[in-house]
Amino acid sequence: MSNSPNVAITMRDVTKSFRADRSIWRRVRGAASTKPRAVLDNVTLSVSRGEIFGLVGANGAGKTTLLKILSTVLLPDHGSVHVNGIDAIANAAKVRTQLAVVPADERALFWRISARENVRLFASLYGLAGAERDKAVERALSLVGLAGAGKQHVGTFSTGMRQRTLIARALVTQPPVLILDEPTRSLDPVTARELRRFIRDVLCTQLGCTIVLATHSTEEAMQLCDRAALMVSGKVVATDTLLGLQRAVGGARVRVRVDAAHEARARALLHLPVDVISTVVDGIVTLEATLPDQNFGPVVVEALVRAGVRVTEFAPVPLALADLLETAISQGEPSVEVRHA
Amino acid sequence: MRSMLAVSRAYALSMLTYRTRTVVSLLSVLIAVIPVYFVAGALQPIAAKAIAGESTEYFTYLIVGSVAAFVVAEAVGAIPSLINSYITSGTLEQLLTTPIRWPSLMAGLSAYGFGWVAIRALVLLLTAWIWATSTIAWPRMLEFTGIMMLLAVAYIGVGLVAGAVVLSVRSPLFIPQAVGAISTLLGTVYFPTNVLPPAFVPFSNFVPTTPALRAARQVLLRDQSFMTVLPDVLQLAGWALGGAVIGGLCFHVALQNARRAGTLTQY
Repeated sequence: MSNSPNVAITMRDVTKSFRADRSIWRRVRGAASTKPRAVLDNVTLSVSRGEIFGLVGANGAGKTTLLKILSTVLLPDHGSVHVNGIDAIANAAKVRTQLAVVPADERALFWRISARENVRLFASLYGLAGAERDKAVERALSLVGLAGAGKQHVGTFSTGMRQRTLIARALVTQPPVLILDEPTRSLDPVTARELRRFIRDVLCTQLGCTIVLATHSTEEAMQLCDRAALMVSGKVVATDTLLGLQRAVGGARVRVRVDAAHEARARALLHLPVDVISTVVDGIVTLEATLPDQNFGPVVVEALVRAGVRVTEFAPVPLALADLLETAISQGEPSVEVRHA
Repeated sequence: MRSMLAVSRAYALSMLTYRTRTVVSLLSVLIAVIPVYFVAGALQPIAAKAIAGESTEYFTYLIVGSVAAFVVAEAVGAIPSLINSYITSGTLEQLLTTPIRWPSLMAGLSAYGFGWVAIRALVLLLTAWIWATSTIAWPRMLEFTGIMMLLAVAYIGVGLVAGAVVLSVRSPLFIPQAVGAISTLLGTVYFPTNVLPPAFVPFSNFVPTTPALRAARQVLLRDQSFMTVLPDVLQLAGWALGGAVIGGLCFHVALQNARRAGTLTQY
């Protein structure tokens, strides 16, 4: 699996557990009594080159631990990890030349120096020097739209600008693999949307980076990721496209906007019970329905139109993470396993 | 080397933004030296005989001891303190995801602190030169600096051990304070070993500041040649080598252990 030229990352049977209690006094009094807590349980996945791969899951699902193992700052208890064919456990130093990490916490920046100096530091750590380094720094700052603010101290930046500085810092050496830990966590919706566009259009399409992204948001995963792994309690319970995951856990959710006068007909065709809440704005009613499969979409639209219902919008709705997880758990983890890796 | 310089530059630029703190720190050295001058002058008749082998004036004896105390404090305290704060902010983990090796990282982060120690030491020595009645052998400055660098390396080993403990349990467990206190009490920083209770005297030979200060004072305050103090320098070099090897091993093992235990980042 790790030798395929099209595969950027492979993780096989990765297991990790931590001590439940790290207090030195409790350890002295009786370490044996504190059982280790499993954080990752036999995780197996693979990411293709140039792919945006999402890790989707609730808090404590093991996403960040997985990213830390991938970025070599954490060693797994069992299992193997390869990045571009290099063993990340045996040859961590070499793997570090292949990837860059954008952490969730912007405190990891040097706040009292400029954005340019922050990026320059990382360029030097990856071996760039002189004019080549300066050019790379300016390029990275321009890519994230911070060329004009490069001289400012990071401490004076907004959260979004700091997030961009972290990305510029990671991009400065154009790493083949980029690891993003909740990149839009503390951003406002407009900045988050811009950043997602940037990740999709610039990082992935223009620069050809392989991106592994951890997120809470199924909407974000749906907008960005080619595929995603759904993580529940340290296990990858499904790996697929987001639409595939939705299908696997119980159909595809769609939003239908129809003329308010045709609501009853639309409800009947969509098999929506009368207690399903709809909203009416300017004579247009919005309904949400669950289809057995996204492929049913054209059939349903055709049926609505044939029945004389004026349809103004018919679009897939990202399944909320809570719904996705709830369904995955209630169905039992093995039954939703859709491994494509 | 390039990585080390890059880290050092970033850290120094960051620290230099604390302008008020920098000025106050320098002024405090100048102010602190005033009572030392008068106390040393008052104790001169009592101390003269005890320090005769290393200095003719107690004030300069104390100044050289204070320079060594600065070096020891920085060497044992800087690394654990930096690791503690960088674990909390996530900076340590971030820097370790890059290709930099930990010795370069630690050297880069410590460089500014030692540079600052050198400036404060120079201020102290200049003050002593202006106020003291005895002379300071400025041409011996290179040898003196070499001895202080060996002293720093010897104690960086302790700093690395304390850093290793921080990586493991998030606290240096008073190692820097304990080592600093023992070195000050037994290592001839403020008084010679012959004023110690006889039971403590043998222990002073196991403190690196003892040979370091003996050599440093001979060179700087008595204008002795490097060859004269070679036995002390060799003893100090042994401490430095041992400290670097033991400290380095401890830190390396602790870093690997932290990568297993997940203590490399905030928790």
